[in-house]
Amino acid sequence: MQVHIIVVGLNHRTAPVEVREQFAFADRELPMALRQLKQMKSIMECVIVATCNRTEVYAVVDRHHLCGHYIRSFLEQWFKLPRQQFTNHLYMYEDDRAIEHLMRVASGLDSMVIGETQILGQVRNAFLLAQEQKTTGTLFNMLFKQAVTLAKRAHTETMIGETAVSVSYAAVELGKRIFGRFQNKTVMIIGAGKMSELTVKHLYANGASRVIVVNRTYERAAALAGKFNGEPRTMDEAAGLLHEVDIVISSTGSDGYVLTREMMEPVMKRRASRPLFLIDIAVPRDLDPTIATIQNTFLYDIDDMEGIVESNLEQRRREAEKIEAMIAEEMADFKQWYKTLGVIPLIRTLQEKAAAIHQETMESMFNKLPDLDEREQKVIRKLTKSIVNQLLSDPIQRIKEMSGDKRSDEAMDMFVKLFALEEPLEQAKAAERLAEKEAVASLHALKPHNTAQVNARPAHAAVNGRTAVVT
Amino acid sequence: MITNNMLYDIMIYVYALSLLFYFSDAADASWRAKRIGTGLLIFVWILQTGYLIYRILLHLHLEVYALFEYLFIFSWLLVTISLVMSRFFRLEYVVFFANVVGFVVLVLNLLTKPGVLIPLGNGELSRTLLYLHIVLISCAYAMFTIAMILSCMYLFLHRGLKRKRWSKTMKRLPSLEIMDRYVFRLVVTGLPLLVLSLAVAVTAIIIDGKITLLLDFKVFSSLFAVVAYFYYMFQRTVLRQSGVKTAIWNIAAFVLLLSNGFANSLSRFHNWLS
Repeated sequence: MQVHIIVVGLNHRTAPVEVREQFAFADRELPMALRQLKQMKSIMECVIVATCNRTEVYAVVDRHHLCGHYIRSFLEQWFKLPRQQFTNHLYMYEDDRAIEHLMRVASGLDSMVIGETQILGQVRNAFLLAQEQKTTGTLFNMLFKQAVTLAKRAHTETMIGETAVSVSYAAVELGKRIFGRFQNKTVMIIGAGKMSELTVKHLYANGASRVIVVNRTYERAAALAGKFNGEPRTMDEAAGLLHEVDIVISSTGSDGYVLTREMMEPVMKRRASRPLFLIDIAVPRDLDPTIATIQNTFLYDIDDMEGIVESNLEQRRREAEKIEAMIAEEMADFKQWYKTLGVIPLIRTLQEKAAAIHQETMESMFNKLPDLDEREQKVIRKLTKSIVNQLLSDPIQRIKEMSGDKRSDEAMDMFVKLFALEEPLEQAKAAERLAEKEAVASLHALKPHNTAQVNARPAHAAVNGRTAVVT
Repeated sequence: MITNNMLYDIMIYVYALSLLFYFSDAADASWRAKRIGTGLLIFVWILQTGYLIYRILLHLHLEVYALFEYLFIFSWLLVTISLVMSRFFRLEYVVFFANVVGFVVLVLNLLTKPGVLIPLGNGELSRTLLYLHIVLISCAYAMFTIAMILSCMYLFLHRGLKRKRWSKTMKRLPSLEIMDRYVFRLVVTGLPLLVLSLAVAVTAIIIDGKITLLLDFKVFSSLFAVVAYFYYMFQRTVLRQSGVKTAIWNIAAFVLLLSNGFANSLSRFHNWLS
């Protein structure tokens, strides 16, 4: 039976936020959604990755032509939305493309901000939840682990996540080039603005020990200072504190310069060898550009900051190319592993059969030669085992190699016939089916409240794989 | 074969290979290249350490000491310090440049094998003092070399930040404050070593009864180098000059120190390099 891996979903590129927010899974609903999805026809394994920027259903299916339809039906039923409203926003990838997509998503290459690392944790958690709900199997257990490992390696071996791609983070990055660490550093924020507030927030989170908030209106300064354990000051008071400040962030609506060169020269004399980092986010600019000519000052305006962000984004794109190469390697490894999947039960069965024959022969021999001591028995057992292993070594190696060929199915059939493995294989499959039934039965026995949960959602009670198919 | 000695050739080749990997990491951050470079450098260090121990044991009872050994110690010190820095600090460029210097010194040393003998004085005490002088001055030179490299990097980063020329290289450099701090610490460590080594040398001269040598050019030029570094300390701690000024002065002091090292031909007694 040929199986396929598919992914159906929507993300920030294919759907605007008004559509995406309608496809948000609440955390508490995900376990049930997974179980219901698994019950659908042809779905053998499934994982749901739901974040603020994407909702994706990954599935292992036994026929891909209709499974896209089944998954769309599931989404339709679950979110109570007519298909026409969202079908244009959905994408669907199969097999190689689906595997590649998962790896790109986990590595952050498909994110709104390329190279972001949060998605890795989200993919990992989605997989772990699905594993807990037993909606994953051999394929996804391998694929998701491989994708997560690859993403970790990508972040370690490249610099993709290390550069700032927003103005506020770029300010932190610049600050680190000047100061290294922000412990014992004082930040002054002049005026109020979302970007400057965000910058101070990042600096504070990175260890800045003192925050001074300056505003024409004391009350506004106090309100903002409260967020950072800071000190509110008026503009007049601020001038007397400049020599204590290491980082100044300015974003006022002032027409003229808030800080001039004449004001800063005596300040820098007082600061002696300590550098001063000034960030001017305002338009028109708040800080006199000639301040930059004073020794030991580093003045950056909004254009400079955006230039840094653009340069960093460009670098991330270059690092992404390295990761694409890593993805290609991982995909080849996965496909190689997948090809050998079918051959493993055959090899195991052959080895078990050989071990059984060996054991039987040894018992028969020891009955016929009762005078052999323990050491002699051990030596004979070891040598005969070695003969068996050596004889089997080449056929096993060959069948592994042939499993990757075009005619692998024929090769495996021949392997089964040559070694008369039909009966042992059947027995092994029967044992596996029995074990699975017992596992499912014990799961149902342990969680009787599942039925109550399903009944609690009358709108979805009718949604099971077969009903969805019929509608 | 570059030299006629297999051990020397291995050292040179492996050191060069290690530098290539470090360069690769410096040019385009590569965690793998850095690991391989570090591994190769450790191998070089093991070879150098083994050889150094062998030479020391060989010369335990000798009254002379070759310039070859002195330069070998200096190269070994640079490798050791760079390995320590590589382990505990993220200072890839410093490690790279320190090893470039170490490699150049090693190659020149192994190729030329300067057999100039440095007589260690007549008496037991005099010999011991001169051993001490050589060890102390080697350590001082190693400290000052790395301080100089850091000062150059400081000026490079400062210029880049002032001119707003953002690049991948700048992101990988340590911060201005950290570099300034490390330079200061290296000078604070190296300067007493330099002063002690000179004091020991002067003592050895006096014990040898060659007091007139105290008026030699070498003594004065060494004192100039000490004064230069003291002035750096004065600028940094008392005058509290900006990092740019102190970095420039540190480089100038190193140039003076290096010139002092190459001006041995003007000395009546300290002329191994003539």
